[in-house]
Amino acid sequence: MDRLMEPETPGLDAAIAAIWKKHRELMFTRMDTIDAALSSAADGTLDADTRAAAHRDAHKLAGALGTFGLHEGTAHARSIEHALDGDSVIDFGSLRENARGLRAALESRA
Amino acid sequence: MTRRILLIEDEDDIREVAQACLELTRGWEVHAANSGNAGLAMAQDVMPDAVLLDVMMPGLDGPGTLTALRANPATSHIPVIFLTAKVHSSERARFMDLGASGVLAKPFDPMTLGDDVARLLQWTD
Repeated sequence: MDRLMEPETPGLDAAIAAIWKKHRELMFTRMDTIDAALSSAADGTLDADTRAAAHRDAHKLAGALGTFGLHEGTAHARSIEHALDGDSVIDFGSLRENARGLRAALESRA
Repeated sequence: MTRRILLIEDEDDIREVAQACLELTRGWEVHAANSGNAGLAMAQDVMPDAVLLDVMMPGLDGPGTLTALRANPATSHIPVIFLTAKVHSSERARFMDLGASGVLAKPFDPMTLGDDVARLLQWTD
């Protein structure tokens, strides 16, 4: 069924908005973990634990943001997750751009 | 007939949205657990019509939880759908081999999650 033709579900949008408001700070905490990894990668000090934490938080954001309507956020988070997977060489420029896009997506939702 | 769903998901935000959308879009009775072990106990208490199960959880993960559900005669018959942010074809095949009735990707669409669950389980009500 075309999304425009779907009957509305009373209360669903409000419920999702309330859940987002409740967990928004956690989303930004995960973003901060990614930024911390980015900073370390920039000065060549990225260690395995910091990388793993950023990978984990990127994975969590990728799996959640689209559910809140932030599909670009999911796309950026997924790119970051893949970039930090394992011990592959990091494309720092791409990582930085995706981190910027991810933060912008988070900030776009009140 | 009101379907009874057990949702096992450790991430609070995803669990809360999934519960809200299944309750509001389908009118299902949703019971939620935040870990594999809590889910196993709840499954035996609630005897749901289906389980919606996260894959990556600390401690007892999704595949481990499914294996435990299948090993318990009281819960072995309950259909299980995995919910995962990693849906590579090899992983999907592994989950189906474990006995899952289907795999749904995260992020899910809150408007259609219930429809997707019903489709996989061939529920027409």
